[in-house]
Amino acid sequence: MDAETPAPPSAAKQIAGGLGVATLISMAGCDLVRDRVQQVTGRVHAEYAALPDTPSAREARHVLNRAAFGAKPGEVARVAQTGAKSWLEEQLADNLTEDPIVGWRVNPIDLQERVRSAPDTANDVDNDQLMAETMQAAILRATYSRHQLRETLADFWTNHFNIYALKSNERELVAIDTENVIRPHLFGKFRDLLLASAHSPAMLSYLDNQQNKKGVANENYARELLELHTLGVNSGYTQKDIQEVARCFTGWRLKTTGDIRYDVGGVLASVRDPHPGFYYDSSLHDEGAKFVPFLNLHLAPKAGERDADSVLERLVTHEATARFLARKLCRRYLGHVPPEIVDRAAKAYLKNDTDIRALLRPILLDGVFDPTRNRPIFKRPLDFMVSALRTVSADTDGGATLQKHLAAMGQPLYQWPMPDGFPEKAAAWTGSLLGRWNFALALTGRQIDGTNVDLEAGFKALGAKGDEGKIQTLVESLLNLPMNSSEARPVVATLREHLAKARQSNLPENTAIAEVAALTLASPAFQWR
Amino acid sequence: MNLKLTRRQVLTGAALAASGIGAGSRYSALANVTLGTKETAHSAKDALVILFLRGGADGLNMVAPYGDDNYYRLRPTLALARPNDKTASAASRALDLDGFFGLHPALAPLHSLYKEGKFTAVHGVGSDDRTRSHFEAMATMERGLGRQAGLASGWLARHLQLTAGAFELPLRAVAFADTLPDTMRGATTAVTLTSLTDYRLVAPTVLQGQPPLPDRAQALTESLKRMYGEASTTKETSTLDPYQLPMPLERVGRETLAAMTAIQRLDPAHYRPEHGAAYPATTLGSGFQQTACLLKGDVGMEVAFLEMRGSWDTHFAQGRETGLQARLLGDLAQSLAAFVKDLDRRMKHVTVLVMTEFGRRAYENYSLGTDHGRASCFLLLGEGVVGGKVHGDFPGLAQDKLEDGGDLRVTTDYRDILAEVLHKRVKNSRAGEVFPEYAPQFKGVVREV
Repeated sequence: MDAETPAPPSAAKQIAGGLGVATLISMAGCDLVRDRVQQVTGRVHAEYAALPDTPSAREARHVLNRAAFGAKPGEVARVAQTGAKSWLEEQLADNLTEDPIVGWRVNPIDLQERVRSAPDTANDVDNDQLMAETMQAAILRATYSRHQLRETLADFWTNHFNIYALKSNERELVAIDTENVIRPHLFGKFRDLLLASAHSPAMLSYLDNQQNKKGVANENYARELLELHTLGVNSGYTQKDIQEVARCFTGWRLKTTGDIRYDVGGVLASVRDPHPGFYYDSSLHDEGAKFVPFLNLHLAPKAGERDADSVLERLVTHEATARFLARKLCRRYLGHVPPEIVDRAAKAYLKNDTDIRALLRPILLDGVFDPTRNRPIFKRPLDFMVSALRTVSADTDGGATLQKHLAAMGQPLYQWPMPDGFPEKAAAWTGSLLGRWNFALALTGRQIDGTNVDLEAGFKALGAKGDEGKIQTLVESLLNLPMNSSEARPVVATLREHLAKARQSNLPENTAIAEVAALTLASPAFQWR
Repeated sequence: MNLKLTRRQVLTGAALAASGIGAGSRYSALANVTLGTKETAHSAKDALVILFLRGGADGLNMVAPYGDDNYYRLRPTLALARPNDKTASAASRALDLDGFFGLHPALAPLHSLYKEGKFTAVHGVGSDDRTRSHFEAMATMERGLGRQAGLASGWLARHLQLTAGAFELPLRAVAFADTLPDTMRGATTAVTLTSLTDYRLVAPTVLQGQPPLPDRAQALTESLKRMYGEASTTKETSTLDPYQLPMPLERVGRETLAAMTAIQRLDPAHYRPEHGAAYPATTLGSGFQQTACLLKGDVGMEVAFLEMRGSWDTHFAQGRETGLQARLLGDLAQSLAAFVKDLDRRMKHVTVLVMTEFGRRAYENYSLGTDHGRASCFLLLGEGVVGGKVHGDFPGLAQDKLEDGGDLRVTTDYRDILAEVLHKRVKNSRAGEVFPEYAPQFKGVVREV
């Protein structure tokens, strides 16, 4: 399904069947108003609402932090009103009318058009442009899509099936991988996702499976397939399993016209081409009998292409895979791994034919909503950037200057060289604070080309008066924390002092406010999700 | 296992005991020195520069065992020509080291340093980790373990804890990387950066339609200091659980601010290499140049960590005297040579150690590359190295000598090298405690300072 095609209204109603009628009207009403304004102005429009100091607002904030890239203005109040569980069900149904901004800004991207209608021509695009446009689409969707859970999953699976775009000029392959492998399958059956990834030109190239020939097999893909994509490293398989699995994949190729050549000590080896596509070359396949002990998989001689099919099928339905995926998703959404949730999620996955939604439901519905099953999660730079863009309702094109900030924070998308994806470990990101502070300053100070922020709009909509009123509005609308909450108090004290001093030095009004807003986003409180 | 530590605890026994230091450790070469007290600040010791080649660098083509005929049998396409092979062009031959090993021709800049006794290699180095997984092998090695299970902190972090003085300078340990390497995980002072020049707060100077503003960086820095000076609101930290921050975020913020101030004083934008040193225009070259800048600036940097990521994983089209690996080696050798030239007499107090998580299969695969193997070689650079020979007990490449039928066996535990360098050059008298559960054996690869 095209991610940006709005669903017909009737479908949206059916999906949201569990919600009350009043709920539907109030939520749809808000989106309708926003859509109309956006259609008239062509700009991002925010519907501000005061932050309620209620338990349901706290819960809404938490759920939006975990299952979305943070809240947009007024969103905590709206979700609190309808109930965070209903919101999450809607997200799982993944069938809302999309925010038109997404279609307007993503569809016209040159590379998007090529991947949709003429993937063969993607390779004609300049390398830097390929990279920038692939990242641009990811940032825009994460920032503006109403399908927020979908976008967090896009980020999750993109890292799970990490491709390094700079390995050998395969930037255009990354764009194709994102659109044709990750996005169509991120809520579906894991089987389909894994099969798509295995046959993906980008993956065939990145982990050298296209170079895997009988004789002495290339083990690169087989190893990461077991270790990172399915079973997990401590599940008990051995080197023998890897070598046997590698034999199963011999003969997997990527269509090549040989335009890119590696110099191998005088021998030229051609790699791949402008018309990427998987094919199977039986003359390179190891037709001997095979035995993969860990999967208890005996393969008769001359099984050809079916060797790899059998391996992939055993892997997706293996309990170790179910548990590995469950643990990893628990870390993404809960910040740790409660054993009973892992059990439930893994069982549901196996019972429902590798269904990703079934795998997610216990983690989100039983996990996220239970405070005892959550630990603080330190935002990664992408989480931080997108949540900041959303909370200030930035009007952005997701372009090059913005992307430079993401790189400076340590997370240039598609540029993690190792197959494990950007680190999940919080400990890896302690060096990213300065980059975050500089992004916050540039964002609110309107120093980023193609990105605009209107802080006054929030003050106006919420009737903020005087310095104290403005500080309250910033804290409550950007952090979604009540002024007197323990997390907000240290921030508020600093903001008051900073603004008072700015007044003394006669700083222009918009500069003073921009600085105070930047400090709010730079605060410890905004680094957690 | 959610151990929460305060800064005070980290600096005292509680943290050391909790992280395994001092408790139940066994010592051998270090037995008689482990009771020593902390070094005084004035004792001569080396700054340590660690370079990690991520992806599993092929030691057999870095320091090639051309004297072993099996090398040519196992690598018909990839083996480097013997130094005296007149049928090969001069540029494609290995550079002789000791009559048995030869240096990859792209490492030529290190050949002269070898002859001067300032550069050497240790062959057959690795860990007990047999998974041949990058991530397991790196996690093992960066934490200073034998196999995966064990301490969560990095070995350099433990070294820094053990040698911490009363006042820790903000730039004591610097990692040139996008993300903090596991080697330093748990270090209470460790700065991660990619550019010294960019390590500053950039305050907007012009707002749309406004006249230029005075520089607001100072005022903003003050406010950040205040905001991050408050007590932590998030209590959850853990040096044992890498999915949690190792210390309160507020403390990370304060250390970031302190490092920023110290770096600005150095004026890194105007750094000029000396003595005709020419760093290659690569990430690694820039990393070594900035390491030199910090060392010459006398900012109290004791440890620098650099890394090259990814491309060493040469499953396919590895190349021989030219190609993928040769390009990486060229970058490595030119960066190291420039660093030595630039530092000149200061090299007296610097040791550089180049390490990798594992070596590669002894035989090449059918896609002109090599798959994951076991032992590799480590490189050592500095005036304190014991030069003139290649160290290590090379087990040979005969079929019956290979591990699991295809891999160079590990004959030197990597911790032997690390502990010896820490003890003799960095003067950590408690180096053995960095590697609990292990009894390091010194191999004589470096001299005492």
